[in-house]
Amino acid sequence: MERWIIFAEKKCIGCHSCEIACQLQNDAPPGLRLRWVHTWPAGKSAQFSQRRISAACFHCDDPSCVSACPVRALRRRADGVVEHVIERCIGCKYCLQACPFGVPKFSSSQQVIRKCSFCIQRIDDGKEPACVSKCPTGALTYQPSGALEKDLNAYGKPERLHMVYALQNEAGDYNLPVPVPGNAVKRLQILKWLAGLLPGGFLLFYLWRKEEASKVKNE
Amino acid sequence: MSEIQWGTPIAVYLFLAGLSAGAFSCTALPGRGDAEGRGHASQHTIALLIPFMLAVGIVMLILDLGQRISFWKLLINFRLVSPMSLGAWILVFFSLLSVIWAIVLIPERFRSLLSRGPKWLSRLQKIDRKKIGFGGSALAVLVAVYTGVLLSSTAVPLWNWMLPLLFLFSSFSSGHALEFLANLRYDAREEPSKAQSEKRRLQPYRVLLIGQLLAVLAFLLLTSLTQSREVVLHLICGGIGVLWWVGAVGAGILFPLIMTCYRGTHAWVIFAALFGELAGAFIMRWSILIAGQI
Repeated sequence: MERWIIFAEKKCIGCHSCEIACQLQNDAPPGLRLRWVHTWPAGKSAQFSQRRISAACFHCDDPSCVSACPVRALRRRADGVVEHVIERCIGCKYCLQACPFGVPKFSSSQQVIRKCSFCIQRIDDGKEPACVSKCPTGALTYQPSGALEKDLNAYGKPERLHMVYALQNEAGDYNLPVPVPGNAVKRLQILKWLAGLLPGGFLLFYLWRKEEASKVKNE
Repeated sequence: MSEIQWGTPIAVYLFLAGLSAGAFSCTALPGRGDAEGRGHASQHTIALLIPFMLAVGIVMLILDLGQRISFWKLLINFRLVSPMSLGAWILVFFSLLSVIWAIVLIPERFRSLLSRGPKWLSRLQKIDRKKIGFGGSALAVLVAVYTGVLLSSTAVPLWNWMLPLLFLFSSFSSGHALEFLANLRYDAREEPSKAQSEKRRLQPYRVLLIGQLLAVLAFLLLTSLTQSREVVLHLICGGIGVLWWVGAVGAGILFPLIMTCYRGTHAWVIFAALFGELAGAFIMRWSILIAGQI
């Protein structure tokens, strides 16, 4: 059964409660935010009209970070949550380069990657994620099972991201990549290998032939 | 400006892994060495240098890890989809083979020392050189290509799928440059007929440099066509741009390419061209690595 967190911008007041709850729940080092609230002025009166987003790991359906991780420290659970096992992480930062949303952060105090854990300990105990439970306006909601509402128009819903965003403007206005990017590690990887290996094979063949010919001439 | 997560140690690693791969494939060519299958002095030197360069590169890689003492976890996991996991294994096999290669090519005067060691050391010397050379060259291509695939299989817009090809040509040409550098020293002592064979070797080197130049152009063209202007400007303008054009393209490709067209050039100019090629290969990797993360 898949789980989702839904962000509804129209209910968000930008209080940062979700951010603080996340920091405390995940014992994140100071200065390293696993959830962050961004605000942008919208319209003429910036104080009263703002665009807001409370962002964290998107828990992609086919996550780049999971494909990139060489030591299986990142894995996708059956419920769609992308879990990071800190004890396994070697801090190679490859997931950081692979994530198209720039989500994983390197903790210089812990020397490992940190990212939103979807509060798996809480949800496995039947509770809501910390950010959802502390949101005073219901801008963040948790759906522990089933499919998302059909009439919900949210960024990431068709692509089955498990953190989706019901926004009031275009996704590009919130610095979200459009269209929703797929798995950057798997994408055309075979082509990338072939782009090097085929010319490499020809190059070796050419150099060996050339050298054989040169050797015969010398002898 | 974003934080640079992969810095100079990774650039050094990419350079040394590529240089080792290129140098191996160069020393393993069937025409290197004499008719009895023994290598000449420059070949011995490079064969001994390759495991050392790989070791320095691997140390750089480990130093860049957050959890340095956990690097062994790379060797108990194998993930075909992760270029880093695949590359770690390719590097392990290539390193082992490069050590065997160094033992096989050990100079005649040191062979008596080996016979005093364990039996397997002497047995290693009886392995067919050509087979190890060919197997190692195939692995060398994999190492050179993997460094490009490692970067291009990310979400970084600058690191596109031309990098495996670019790093391949850069590795091979820098490997050839290293061999020429070693020959500059040794040829003076050896017979004059070597000079003639060196001239013949210039042609494949020129082909590699032209290939590298074309790969650079293809890389820039692909980036300009598929990404926003800012992405390519980070590489070709500003401080990194100066390094890119003067170091990677000028000293690393154009200068040695021009030098291959002249005969009777002073040894120090040739030395400068070959050293420029090696420095350019490093600067190219460093510029691409850093400009991609800005």
